Amino acid sequence: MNASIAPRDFELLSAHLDGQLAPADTQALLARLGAEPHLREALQRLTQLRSLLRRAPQRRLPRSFMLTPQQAGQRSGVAAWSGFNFASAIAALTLIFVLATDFTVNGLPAIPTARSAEPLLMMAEAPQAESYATDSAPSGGAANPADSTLFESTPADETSLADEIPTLKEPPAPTLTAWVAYNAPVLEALLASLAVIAGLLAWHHRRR
Amino acid sequence: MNEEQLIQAAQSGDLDAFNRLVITYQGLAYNVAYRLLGDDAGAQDATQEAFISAYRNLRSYKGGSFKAWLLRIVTNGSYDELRRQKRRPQTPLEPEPLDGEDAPDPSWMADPGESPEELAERVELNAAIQRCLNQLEEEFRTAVVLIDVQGMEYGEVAEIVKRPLGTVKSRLARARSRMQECLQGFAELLPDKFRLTGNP
Repeated sequence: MNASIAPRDFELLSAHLDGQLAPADTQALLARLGAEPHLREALQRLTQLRSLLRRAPQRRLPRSFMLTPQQAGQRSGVAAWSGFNFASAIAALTLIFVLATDFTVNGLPAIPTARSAEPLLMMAEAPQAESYATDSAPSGGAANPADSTLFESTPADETSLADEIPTLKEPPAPTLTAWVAYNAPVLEALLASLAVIAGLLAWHHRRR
Repeated sequence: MNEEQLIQAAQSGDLDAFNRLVITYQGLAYNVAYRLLGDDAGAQDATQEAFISAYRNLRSYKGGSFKAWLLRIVTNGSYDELRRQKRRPQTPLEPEPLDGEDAPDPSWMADPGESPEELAERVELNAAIQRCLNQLEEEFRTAVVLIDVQGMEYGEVAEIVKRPLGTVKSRLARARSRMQECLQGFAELLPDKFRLTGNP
């Protein structure tokens, strides 16, 4: 149908029909329309088409699209849940792990991190203290009276020994917990960074 | 309250204010969705989703034409719906009507005082137009639906599709050219007064 009309001419006719041509272009096109019958014919068909499309019936509304409070509320709830995506889950789990680690190692989350190194120091001292206790303690109560003089000590010494005994009897073993305790500040910083990154990813994902 | 005040109230969470905007634009939104999709159920879904999405994202509206902002959501939602339908095609339980209309009852098109013959003509014309629209690519269909079927201005459409005015002009011209060719194929089905013929 439009084989005889160049695409550029068809575009000019289309824009002219809607009054979208610049005045100079309109003048040039009007001059051509006066001289070229096939352009006039094309413009007439185009005018018919536009008229036809404008007569296309509008459909009656099948129902109202007003939002109910439930719709608005439920949708935002769904959106919030869908925003709780993989990255959000990672952030939450990482935070839980950080808190749990801190709690199991230090007893309370608020304990200063410097104290978390104490068990390791105790562990380092433990073998020495244990050998001292083993070497110096007599076997059972059948001690040589002569030897007992060796153990005569001042009340002050007894007090310091008594203080040391509980610690010496239960030296902490070099476990994973101790390692975690030693590296707690670094681990916490690392995991907190991961949580922040995951949280930012989740926020970015929701914005998209 | 004028439109601007309604928008501000809705942005503050006033659902009644938003629903007054829905009342204003639901006819246009539904008809645009229907012409883009060619399917009543899909158009209803797309329109409802568009209004819900608009309410949820109302804070991202920063002024300008609210109609253009809303119709952008409607057109995007309609094409999302179209892609969903293509991914999960549904087999109709009953054979599709020959005229391509999804609703067998054409009473929605009836005008008071219109004769049955006139109604039949308009039903055929409507079906032919919809079939030709369905054959257009998305960007061409959007241009011809918004400008020719809905009678919107080029500037508004440029705002909706976020393209320069020149692109809209070019797309509309190509869409019109294809619509002409397509409707010519239905010439024998159309009443004489609707046939696209030139008078040399």
